[in-house]
Order: sequence, then structure tokens, then C-alpha cells
Amino acid sequence: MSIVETTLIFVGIPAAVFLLVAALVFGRAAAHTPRYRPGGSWQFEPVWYLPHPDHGGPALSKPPAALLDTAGSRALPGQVLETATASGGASGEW
Amino acid sequence: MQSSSTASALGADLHTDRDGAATVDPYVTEQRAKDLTTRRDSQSGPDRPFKPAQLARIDEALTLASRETGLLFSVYVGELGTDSRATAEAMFGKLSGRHHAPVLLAISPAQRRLEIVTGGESARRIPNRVASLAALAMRGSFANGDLAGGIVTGLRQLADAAGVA
Repeated sequence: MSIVETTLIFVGIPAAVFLLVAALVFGRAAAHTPRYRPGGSWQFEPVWYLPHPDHGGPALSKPPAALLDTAGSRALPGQVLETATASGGASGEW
Repeated sequence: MQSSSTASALGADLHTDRDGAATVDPYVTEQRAKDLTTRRDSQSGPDRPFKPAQLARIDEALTLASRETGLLFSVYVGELGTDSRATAEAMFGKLSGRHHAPVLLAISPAQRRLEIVTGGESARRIPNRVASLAALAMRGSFANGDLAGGIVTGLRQLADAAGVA
């Protein structure tokens, strides 16, 4: 065996196997890295998500006054349509 | 005005970005809320917090929860200022102008803080005890770095508790 063949077999093949295993292990992790880590930074723009209007019921994106006009399509007659003020909920930290 | 954060919080408003998707910019005061919709494709990307698959899950949970219960579920992810509760309640005020029973889930990943705000009909149908339980479940996911999973879990729990409209 020439020196080139020896090198290829005893260095090249183990190195190739090592790289393959390393790619399998770390490649998946790199592809699935979460964009948020607790305590990490958060540089994204604020986002505010709302449900699709066509699925969320007829009252979506209408002020209470406009809701009154179309109340027959959904709400019971005589229902009090007050403007909700924040009165409950929960807070938390992690 | 007590602080700059409170001022910006009260100015928080819905507006539509260039893709027509609903986002919030705490520094925008003008009111443009015609196209309130989540859009998976335009809301995902390198500068967006969620991947398309995560966004699809949030979108589905949000839409399902709102459709089942008749409440307006809404999810905010971003800065909440020093008084996070006041900021969240100011944002809730914006929502209550559009729907009689909104529910706001406000999450600030940078501050590791989460606020669930209910009011009116939504407060009657979602007791604070249930909201605390949902917050607990969400905190568990968030502490593991799973923002989208926590949001979906919270939405499901709150919607289950609220029941069918």
C-alpha cells in the first residue's frame, strides 16, 4: 500500500464517519433551534395576533354600536352589549 | 403621564403592516384596524418570532378558540413596559372597542412576563382561577423555550373553560 492509500483508509474513512455522525447529531439541532431561550434576548418587533375575521363570528372588528344593528344574526335580543373593561385574568413570570 | 412606558402603552394600537397582517406598534397612535387578520406567510420570516409551522398552530388555536366560544381571543408578543399589567389592560381597552368579550394574552419574552386579561362577558366565563391555571401551563412551556406551544396550550385551556357560546 502506498502512503496515500494508507492515509485514506486509516485517516480518511474514520474522519468521514466522524463527520457524518457529527452532522447527524448537530445538524438536526441547528435546524430546530428555538428562536427563544428563557433569559435570552428578544429583538423581534411586537406582534399582535387576532383570529381570522371570517371565522371569529359576526361581531369581530365591529364597535358595539355597529354590533347592535346586526345583533339579530347572533346575539339574543335584549342582551346587554356593554363595553368590557379589564376586570380579571392572571399574571405570571417564568 | 407617569413614565414613558405608560405613555407608549396607552398609545399602543392595532395597525396593519405593508402585508395587511395585524401587528401592534406601541408607538403608533393612529387607528387603522380594517384588516385584522393573521397571515401565516407574511408573518413568518427571519425577523418574525415564529416559524411558519408554529404560526400555523397559533393561528389555528386562536381561530378555533374564538369560533367555539364566541369570545375574541387575541395574542400579543412583545414588550410590555415596566408596568406590564397596565400596558396589557390598555391594550385590552383597544380590543373591547371592537368586541364585547375580548380575551388578551400578552407575553413579553424579554421580561419573562405574561398577562391574561379578561373583562365583561369573558371575565364571567373565564374565572380568574382558570386564567391562573392557564398562565401556569403557559409558564411551563415558556420556561422550556417553547413560546408557540405555551400560547397554544393557554388558548386551549381558556377556550375549554369558557365553553361553547
